[in-house]
Amino acid sequence: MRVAIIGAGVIGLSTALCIHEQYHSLVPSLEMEVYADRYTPHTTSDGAAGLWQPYVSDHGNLQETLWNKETFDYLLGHLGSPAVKEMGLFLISGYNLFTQPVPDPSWKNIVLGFRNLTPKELELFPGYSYGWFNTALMLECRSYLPWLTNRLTQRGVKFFHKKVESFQEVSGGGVDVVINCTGMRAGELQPDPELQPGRGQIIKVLAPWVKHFIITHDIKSGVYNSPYVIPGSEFTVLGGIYQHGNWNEENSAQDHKTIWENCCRLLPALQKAKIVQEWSGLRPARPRVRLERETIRQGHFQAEVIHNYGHGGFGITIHWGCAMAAARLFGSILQEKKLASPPQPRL
Amino acid sequence: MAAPKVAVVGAGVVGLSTALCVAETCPSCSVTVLSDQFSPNTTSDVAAGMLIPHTYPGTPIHVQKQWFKETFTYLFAISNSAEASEAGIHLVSGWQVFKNTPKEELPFWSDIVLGFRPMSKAELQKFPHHQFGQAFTTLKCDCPPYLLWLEKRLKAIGVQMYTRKVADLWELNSEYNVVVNCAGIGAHQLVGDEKLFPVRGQVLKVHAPWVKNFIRDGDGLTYIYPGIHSVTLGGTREKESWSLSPDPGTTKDIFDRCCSLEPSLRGAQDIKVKVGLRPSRQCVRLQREVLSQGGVKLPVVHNYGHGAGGFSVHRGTAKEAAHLVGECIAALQGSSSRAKL
Repeated sequence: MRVAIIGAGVIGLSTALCIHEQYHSLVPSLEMEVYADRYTPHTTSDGAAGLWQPYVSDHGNLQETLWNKETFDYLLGHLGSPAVKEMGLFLISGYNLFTQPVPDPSWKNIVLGFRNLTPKELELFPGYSYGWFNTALMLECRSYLPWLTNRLTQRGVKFFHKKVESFQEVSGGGVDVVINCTGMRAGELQPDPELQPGRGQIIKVLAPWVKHFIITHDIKSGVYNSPYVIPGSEFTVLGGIYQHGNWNEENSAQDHKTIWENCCRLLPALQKAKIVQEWSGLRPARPRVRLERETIRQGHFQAEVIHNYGHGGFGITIHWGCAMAAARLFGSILQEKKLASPPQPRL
Repeated sequence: MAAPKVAVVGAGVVGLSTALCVAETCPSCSVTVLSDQFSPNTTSDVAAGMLIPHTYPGTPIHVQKQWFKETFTYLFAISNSAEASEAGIHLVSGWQVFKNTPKEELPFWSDIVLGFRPMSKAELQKFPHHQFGQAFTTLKCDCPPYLLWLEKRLKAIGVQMYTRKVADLWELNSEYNVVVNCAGIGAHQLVGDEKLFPVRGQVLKVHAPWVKNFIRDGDGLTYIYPGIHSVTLGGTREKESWSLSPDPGTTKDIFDRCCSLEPSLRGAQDIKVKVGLRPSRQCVRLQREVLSQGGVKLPVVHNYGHGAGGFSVHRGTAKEAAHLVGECIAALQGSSSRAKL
């Protein structure tokens, strides 16, 4: 049984690992391959700061809230593991700031120690009159993606540096299941008008005195269009750009100015921070994540495709829950092909 | 008296902040700092500089609370300004965990730090050996940056600083009108204070930049304090030990205790070991004294004995010491004008 994963960002690699972990002992013939034209550190995931935090409003999407929770709990469980530093995983506390009271988010009981900000804390952030404090997790992809790659390599998964132009290209060669984790460019494999870029730009600085994340929100501007500061293990990420429909991956001087001025207003000490790098990326935005099976037929060929793309600005936040859901879909494919015995009922 | 001459002995956090307060409250004074050690070789440089107060058994709680509040307010303003990184002042959040629920669940400083509350069950799961905990946000003064920033502020307002070992306060009598004794553990020898005793602390400073939260065991012996460039792991509280040499067995013990609280520290790099002697006392000696020899008087203001709580109360005690210096000067000016009649 040959399985091909297209895409090597956080979604592709974690889905590959999740499926391999669950099924390689059940399916001795399982052969897994990863195809991607971009690998770490050049994926969209690599540009993300790595903070686990869903959007402020879940728009009633309970399925995604559940996947977010599964991811958080999974990562939290790894905090005590010896691999934690290699994974790029650590706890971090911080602030979400608003200009008016807002309802508590769907994830308030998922994170640790969620509470409202006190008046004295709000003094730190002039212009903001309401906010939250909580402890969440950071998962830095510049460490996590190599860690996933190592785990996969150890398991005999093969990697190919190649731009896949069609599902048929992969399935025609004898692959039974294709996992589509192509993120922003899923539309090139199969048109999807619901998938749109949410362009972001960030400035990476050296500011090791910053120990908290600070995310501001402006209901009028929309998500991520308000300044944020996220301290990583080496650099601090300054951001606050979300441009729907903008495909430009080049850095914009105007956006740089917006980010820098807004973040320095938020944290005056940042004026002394040294700028190390600037980066732009496209969040693969979609009204909801596309996580479903599809049977692609062309002539004699038939391939089972599992789509797992459209995670917008919360890919890291939701990745493991989606990987598990994709693995369940894979299990159902196996059952249909009668390649794996169904789970035996306990007597 | 034109331009009263004030000497401050000691250049740790207490000496430098006291000199600054004196210079600020008495612009006509000429202030000089004298010390045998300056940053990075003071006791303050070894400390993590966390604003978590130590309780002095001999000082009324309301006084300690006032000192802490003044210090916290002062540093809070700096942390919020463009100078924060240069001054080495930053906010840090974390947890104080207890193996057994403490008698006093609400320390006197709980309403001064930010967001103080008991830890949730979910938060406590990270600490399987601990039953109770408190979460809060406080400030950290990283040294050397904070001391260097104080030195810069002092130089900017004309305060001179000299490396000089003062063997006896009286030797300053001919050059200075008032002496402020901020000699820390040095006061044991300098003024022969038998009530002052060292509490030896050994710490490790390690590179572990992914540690963003502090963790402190309520027993005060094991703690993890993330600073700007390193994480301070502690520690020990060895009463009456004067040894400044790092002990390798202690190093291993501290590392193991901290890793048990935060397993990811096993990956820490670049481990440096430091030792400091906390200048401990039942209460901070913050008072005036007049030394006299053969009819000549030398007013002294003592400001030492801050033990484990130097950073937490430094600004509050510095201001009180500056006030006492003002009283000394007024008394001198009063007696000199009487002498003129």
